[in-house]
Amino acid sequence: MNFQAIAAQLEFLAWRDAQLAAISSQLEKALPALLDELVEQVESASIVNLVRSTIALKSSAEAIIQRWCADQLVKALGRAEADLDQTLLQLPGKVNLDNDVWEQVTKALPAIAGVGLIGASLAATPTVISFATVSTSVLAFWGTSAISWPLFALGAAGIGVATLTGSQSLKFAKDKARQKLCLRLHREAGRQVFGIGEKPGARCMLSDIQAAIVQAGRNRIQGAI
Amino acid sequence: MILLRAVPPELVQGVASGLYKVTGSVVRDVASGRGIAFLQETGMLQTILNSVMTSGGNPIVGFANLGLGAASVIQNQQIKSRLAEVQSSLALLQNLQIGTLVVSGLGLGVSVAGFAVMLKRLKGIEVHLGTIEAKIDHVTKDRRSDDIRMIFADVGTQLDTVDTLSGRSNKVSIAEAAEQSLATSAGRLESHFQQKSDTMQLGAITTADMDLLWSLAAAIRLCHEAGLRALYSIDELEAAKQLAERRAQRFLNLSQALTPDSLARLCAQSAQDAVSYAEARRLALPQAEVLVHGLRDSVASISSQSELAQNLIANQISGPAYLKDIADEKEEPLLILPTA
Repeated sequence: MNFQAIAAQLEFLAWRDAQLAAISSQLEKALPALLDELVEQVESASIVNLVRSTIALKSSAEAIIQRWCADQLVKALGRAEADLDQTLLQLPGKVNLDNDVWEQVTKALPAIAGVGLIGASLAATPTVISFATVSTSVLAFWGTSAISWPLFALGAAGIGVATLTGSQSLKFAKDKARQKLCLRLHREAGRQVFGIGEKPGARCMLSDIQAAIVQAGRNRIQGAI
Repeated sequence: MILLRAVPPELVQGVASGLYKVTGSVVRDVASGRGIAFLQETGMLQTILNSVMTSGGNPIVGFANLGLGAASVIQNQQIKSRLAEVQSSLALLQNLQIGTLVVSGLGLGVSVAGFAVMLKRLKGIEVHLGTIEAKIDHVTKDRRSDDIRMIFADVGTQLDTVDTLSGRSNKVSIAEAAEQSLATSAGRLESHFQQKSDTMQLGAITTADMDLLWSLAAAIRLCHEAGLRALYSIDELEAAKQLAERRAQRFLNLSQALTPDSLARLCAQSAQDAVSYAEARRLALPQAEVLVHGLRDSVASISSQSELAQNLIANQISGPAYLKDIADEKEEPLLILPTA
């Protein structure tokens, strides 16, 4: 019966909405830890690293960000999967849905275009993704191509000039450079994680994690994977 | 009274304990998903609501602040508490979106509101829309406002027709025409809703944008409720059942694009850093939740009207007889109809 299909769709939409909001909160709470770790890298970097070996900083920062993102994804996955199991249990009629109802639910659920800010991320998420395979696929994007690494070079440039003009100015330039670099890191993290300063719909880690969860949930419901 | 009866205390306790849950106007057994009974509001509910909202000469909420503002959300909680104090059966309303109560009634069963109440709701929505329009989207607001005003004028006329159906000799053709006109108005309002919803995905939004959607949704729901009542009046229960199903699905499709998180994120879109972004998002989230949950509750409410019509058909209860029983009820604000 149709009202069963509607009730089932409402349950799944409630699951989707709850997951999206929970992921936002989760990343907001976890961001300070990421920022601290990135700043620590800059603070502890030697002047040699700051001037000449920006590659070392870049790869360590990249590793930190990727690890953080992976941690967030794992947390979100665990919550989403457990909640979806619960949703399936609570379906009207204990999932005694006939094919027609099931078809309607799955037809409505993708709502790929219907989740606003995660649209672009959803389009980029592999359609075969499942809760089990989600992590490797999602994180690939957040390598060097997505991250504004020239910021390291900019931070180090001032020090490079200062080394030519004397030790007092070098110390000042070094502190100033670290400060600027930290500021840029904060800004860059905000851009990458939440899409701050980007147009709505641009990819960011938050949207990518949300997209992966929605796609995996959809596949689970469809029984595709 | 045919099969309608007062809400038994065990039903209230069952909902309170989590044994049952209220979806739309259907009370379901959580374990089996089976419908136990339908909730049906009576004219008494409106009387109680009016008294609760204006108790102590200090209105809790009125049409002036029917929007999504934080104050309204808090006031809704106060209304719920007071309702439960007034009558124990109204504790069943604790999980419902009381926000919809102010703009379009509770949607528990077939609407019994008279013309004056329905028109007041419509006017309230219209006035509120005018206030919101002043805050947003200056380029298109005039054209949109004009069109919405015309739709509201049409709806007002049809509400009058629906309310006077019982006194008409050729009620069938008039009811059918009114229902069709209301459906057309709902369709036009849906188009405004969709347009606004699509535009909102493109850039930073404010809570006024959400408020506009909320008001349009309330007007659409009012059209559906009045149209269904017209069909009940002429005993077209099968048509009411099918139309309610389709409209619930359409309402669901309209609301699917909206999630509280994406709306709240759009409200935070112009933030400059992560801290102000998180603050803006968290600030907007409760209002976004009220909007989206209200839309989903409307879907459940319209959908359960389809179940109700089916149940009446199964119990061989005619639409006019059902409406008469509800109208005649002078004591209970809520009644139940056990499922067939």
